[in-house]
Amino acid sequence: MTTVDAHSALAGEPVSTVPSRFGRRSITQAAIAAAVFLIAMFVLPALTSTFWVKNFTSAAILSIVAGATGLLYGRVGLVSLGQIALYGVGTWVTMRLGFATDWPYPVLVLIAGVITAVIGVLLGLPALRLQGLYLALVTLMAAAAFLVILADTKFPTGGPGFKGLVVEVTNSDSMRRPDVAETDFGFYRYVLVVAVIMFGLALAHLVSKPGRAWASIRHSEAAALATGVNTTTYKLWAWGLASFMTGIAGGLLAAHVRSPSTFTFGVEQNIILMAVVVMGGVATLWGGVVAGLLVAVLPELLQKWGFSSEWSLILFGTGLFANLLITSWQLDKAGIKE
Amino acid sequence: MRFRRLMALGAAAALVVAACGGDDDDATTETEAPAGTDAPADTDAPADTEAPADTEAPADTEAPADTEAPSDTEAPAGDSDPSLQRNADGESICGLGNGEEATGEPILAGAVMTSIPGIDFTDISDLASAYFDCVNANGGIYGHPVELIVENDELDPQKASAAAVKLIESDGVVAMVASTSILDCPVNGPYYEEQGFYAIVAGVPAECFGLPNMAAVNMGPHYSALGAAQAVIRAGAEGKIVAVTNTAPGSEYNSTGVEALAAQEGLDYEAVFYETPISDADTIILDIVSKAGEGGGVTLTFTPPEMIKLMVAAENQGVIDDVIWGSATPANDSSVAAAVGPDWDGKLLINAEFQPTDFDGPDTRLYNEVSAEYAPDSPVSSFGQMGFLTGRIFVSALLSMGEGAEYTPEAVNEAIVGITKFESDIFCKPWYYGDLPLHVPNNWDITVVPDSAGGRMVPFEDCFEIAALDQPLIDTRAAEQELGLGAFAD
Amino acid sequence: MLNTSQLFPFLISGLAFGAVYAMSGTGLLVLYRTTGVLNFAFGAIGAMGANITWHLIEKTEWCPDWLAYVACVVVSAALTLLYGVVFAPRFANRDPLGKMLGTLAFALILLGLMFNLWRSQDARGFRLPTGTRRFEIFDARVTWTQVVAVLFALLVVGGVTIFLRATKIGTAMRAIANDREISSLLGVPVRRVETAAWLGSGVLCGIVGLLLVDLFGSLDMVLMTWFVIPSLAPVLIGQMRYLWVTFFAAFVIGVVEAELNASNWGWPSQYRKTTAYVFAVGALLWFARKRTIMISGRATR
Repeated sequence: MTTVDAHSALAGEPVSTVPSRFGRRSITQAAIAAAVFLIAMFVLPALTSTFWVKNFTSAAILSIVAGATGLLYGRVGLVSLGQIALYGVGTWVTMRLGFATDWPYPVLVLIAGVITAVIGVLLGLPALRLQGLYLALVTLMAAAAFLVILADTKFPTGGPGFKGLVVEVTNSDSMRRPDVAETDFGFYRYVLVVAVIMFGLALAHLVSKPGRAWASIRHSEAAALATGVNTTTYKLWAWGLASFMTGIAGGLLAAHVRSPSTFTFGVEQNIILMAVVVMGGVATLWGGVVAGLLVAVLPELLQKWGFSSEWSLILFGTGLFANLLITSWQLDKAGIKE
Repeated sequence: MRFRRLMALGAAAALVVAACGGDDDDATTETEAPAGTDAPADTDAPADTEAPADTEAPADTEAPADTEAPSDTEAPAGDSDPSLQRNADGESICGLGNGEEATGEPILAGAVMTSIPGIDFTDISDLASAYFDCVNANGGIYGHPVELIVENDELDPQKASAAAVKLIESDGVVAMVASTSILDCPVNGPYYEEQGFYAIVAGVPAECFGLPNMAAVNMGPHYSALGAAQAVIRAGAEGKIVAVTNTAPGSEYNSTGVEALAAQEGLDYEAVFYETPISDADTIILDIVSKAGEGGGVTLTFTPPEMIKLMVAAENQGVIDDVIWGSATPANDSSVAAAVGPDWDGKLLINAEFQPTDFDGPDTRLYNEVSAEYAPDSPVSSFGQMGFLTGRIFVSALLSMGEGAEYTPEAVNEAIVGITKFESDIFCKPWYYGDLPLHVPNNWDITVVPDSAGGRMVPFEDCFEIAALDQPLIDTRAAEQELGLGAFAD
Repeated sequence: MLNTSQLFPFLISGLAFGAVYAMSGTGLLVLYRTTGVLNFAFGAIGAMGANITWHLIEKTEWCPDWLAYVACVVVSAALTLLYGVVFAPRFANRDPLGKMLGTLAFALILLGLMFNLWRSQDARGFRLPTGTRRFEIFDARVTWTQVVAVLFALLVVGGVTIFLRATKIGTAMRAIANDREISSLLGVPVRRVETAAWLGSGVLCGIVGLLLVDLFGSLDMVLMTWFVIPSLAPVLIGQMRYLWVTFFAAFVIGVVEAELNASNWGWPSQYRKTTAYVFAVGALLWFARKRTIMISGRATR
C-alpha cells in the first residue's frame, strides 16, 4: 500500500495539496485564468447571439454552485447532495427582499448569500458526525424536504405577506436587475464578474489556513484532530462558504430569469448537479466551470443537433459512469482501497 | 490524472466552441460596452493548472432566409377563396390542395414549447408541423413551403426567453404559431408585442388570455375548469364544490374560475393543491371526497397520467358515486378512457374545448387524415386538434395575403391579426383574432364523458357558453357582440 | 380541526401506502446487505421492466398478461445482473458512496432511455389481477394488491433475515458485502455468490416494479425512478442494517403521512410529503448524537 492519499489519487494530484502562494506556477495560472476571463467577458459575446449569451450566463451561475459543491466534496471530503435546495433558498430570499424593499441588487444578493450561509451552517452542525454515504443521504433527504416546502411556498411574485404571492396572476411582478446590467449582455458580464469574485473567495480560502485544515481533514479526520486542527470549526466554515457561494448564485439566478419557477428546483436536479460536478472534476475549481457548461450548454446543443432533451440525462449518466470507472481503475492501479 | 482533466476541459472547450460556431450572426446583437463594471479583482488561478478552455469561436455566419416569392405559382383548386382551404365539394384540404410539392423559399414560423418529463405539449407542435407537411405536399403557400421551428423551454424561464429571441432574431421566423408553454406567454408576451408579433398559441397560463398579441385556440385550464364546474352543477352537485389541481407555479389560476362560479351559484368552495407526481392517490381521493361532502362537486385539473392515478384510486375506494366529478380539458384523451374501468363510464364530466375527434365534419376528417399520415406517433387527441388548428389558421392567414405577397413579419402578422372569422367544425363557434386588448376566442365548449369499452371519450352535452364571470370574458363577449365575432359572427 | 371520522380510512390507506415504502425500502436494504451496494437505480430498473410489460400488454397481440408480468421480472433481473456482474466489481475498491454514485449514473441512463422509448405524457398503466379485486375492512377499502404488497414485504424481510443468517450462501453474501477482497482470500466463491445476490435483487426489483405500477395507479417512470429517495427514509431509520426496523418504520411513515392529509389542519397537510425525510434525518441525527457514525468500506453486519 502506498502512501498516496486515496482522495488525492481520485483527484489525480500528488499528495502535497496546498500550493505555495507566489511561486512561478501560480503566476502562470493567474495569467491563464485572467486570459480566459477576458475572452469570456469581451470576445465571446461579440461572436454569438443573445440566445447563447443567456445560456452562458446560466452556465456561469451554475458553475458557482458546482464549484461550491466540488469544493466541499473534493477539498473537504463532505458530500452534499442538497445544494440545489440552498440554491433555491438564495433565489427565494433575493426575490422576497427585492419586492419588499428598494435596496440595491448587490445588497439583496449579499444578504441572500449570508442567510443561505447561516442555514448551511445550521444544517452542517448536526451533520458533523455523519460521513460518506450517510452524509450524502442526509443532505439529499434534507433537500427533498426543503423542496416540498418550496413547491408550496413558490417564488414571490410581488404580493404581500411572507410568501409574497399575488392573488391575480396577471398582476405578478418579476425580479429587477441592477441598473448597470439591465440587458442580457450586460447581465452576462455582471455574472461573470461575480463568479470570478466567488471563485477568488474560494481560492483565497484554499491557499490559506482553512485550505490546509480542510486538506488534513479530508486526508484523515482523526489525524487532523490529533494534530490540533479544530475539525468542527473548519467543517462548519466549509459548509458556510459553500452555502454562501450557492446563495449568491441563487440571487444571480433571480435576476437572470426574473420569474423563477419551482420546476427548476426538482430533487433530480441535485443528482444531476452531482453528476456534472464529478464529471467536471473535483480537484480544481475549473471543474465547477466545466460542470456549469455541461449542465447549461449541453442540453441546448443536443437540441440544436436534433436530439431530444432526454439525451442529456443519458449523457450525464454515462459521463458520471465513465468518470467513476476511470478513477476506480486509478485507485486499483495505486493499490488503494477507500 | 492530467489526462482526465484535460479531457474534461477539452469537453468544456468543445461545448463553448460548438455553441458559438455555427450560429447565425445576430443582426440585432447588443454590443455596447458594459457600463460601469468594476475592474475585476485579481483572478487568481486555482491551485492546479491545465490548458485553459479555448474560447475562440470561428465566425460562422449564415444569411437569414430569403423570403421573396418564387416566380411560378399554382392556381388553387376551385374558385372559392383559397384561404378557406376547401375544395369544390366543401371538403377540407391542406392549403391549396393541389398535390404538388412546394419547393420555393420556406416561410418560417416558430413555437416555444414546454417539454419536460410529465409536462409535454409537443403533440401540439407535432400536429402543427404535420399540417404544414401536408400543406407543403399540396402546393405550399403559392409554392412556398411552411416550416415550424420548435424550441423547448424545459420549463426554465431563462430558456423560454432565450428561445423567443433565438426564433425571432436568429432564425428569422415571421410568426409565432402553436407555442404551448407554461412560461412563453408570461415571459415573452411583452417581447412579442415589442416585435410586433401576434402569436397563435395553445394557452396555459393566464397571460395567454390577457394580452393583445396572444390568441389561443383553446380555453386554458382556468376557463376549462370553470366549464367543468358548470357541467357539474348542471348535473346536480350540491352544497360545496372543490377545485383540485397541482402545485405548479400559477396553478391557483386554474381554480379561480370555479371559485367565481361557486360564489354565483351560492355553493361553498375550497381549492386544494397536490404536488405531482402523485404517489398516494388513495389518500388524496379520500381527502377530496371528504372535503366535497356527499353530493358535492369536484373539478380536477391534472395531466392524463395523474388523472388515471386519481380515477383508479376513486374506483378502488368506491367513491365514484359519492360526488359529482368534473375535469378540465387535459383529461380529454383517449388514453385516459382506455385506462380506466367501466365504473367511470359517464361519470367524469370533462370540459372539451373542441368537438370530439370522430365528429362528422370536414375539418375533423382532415385532422384525422393528417394525423394518421404525417404524425402517426401522436395519438388522436385534443392536443392534436389544437396543433392542427393553429397550423390551419396560420396557413389561412398566409393564403389570405394573396399570391406574390412578401412574407415579412410585418405583413404576416397583419394578416394574422386581421382574422375575424375562422370557421371549423372542430370549434363550437368561429374563431377570430382581431385588434383587441385581450383574446379569449374559444369560449364555447362541450362536455364529454369516458366510454371505457370504446376506449374513447363521447359527447355528453353539446356546445354551451362558458360563464362570463371575470372581466376578461365579460369584455370579450361585449367586443364579440359589438364587432360580430365568435358566437355573434354572421 | 381533526376529522375523526376520517381517521380510520386514512389509517388503512396510510398502511397501504406504508407497504409501498416497505417494499421499496426493504428491497434497497436487502441489496445493500447482500452486495454492499446501495442501488439507486432500483426504481429505474423496475420502471424499465414495467414499461416492457406495458408494451407487451398494450402493443402486442400475442403476449398473454402473465407472460408480460414475467417479462418485467426477467428484464429487471437482467439489468440488475448486467450492472452487478459487469460494472459493480470495478467499483469494489470504493467506499459505499462511490458505489452508490455508480448506480446513480445507471439510473440516469435508464431514465433517459425510457423517455426516448415511451411517451411519458400519456396515461399509461396496467392493473394486476389482484388490483381489480377489493374488499372492505370496517368501512375502508383495500385492494388485494395492497395486501400482496404487505405480505410480500413481510416475506422478503423474514426470508432474507433467515437466509442471511442460516444459510451458507447467505453468510457468504454478508462476508462479501463486508469485505470482498478478504472474503475471496478466505475461499468464498465471490463471483458466484455475488451473481446470485444481484440476481436475487434483480428479481425483487422486478416484482416491486410490477406492484408499484398497480399501487400508484399509473406507470409513472419519473415517480418510480425517484421514489428511491423517500424509500431511503425507512432504510436510514433502520441504520442501513436492521430489516425489521426498516419494515416497521415504513408503515409508521405511511400512516403519519396519510393522517396529516386527513387532519384538515391546513398547512401541515401541505407539507405531509416531508414526513419521510423529517423522520429519516431526525433518526440519523439521533443515532449520531454521541458518536460519529460512518460507513467505512465495510458494510455493517
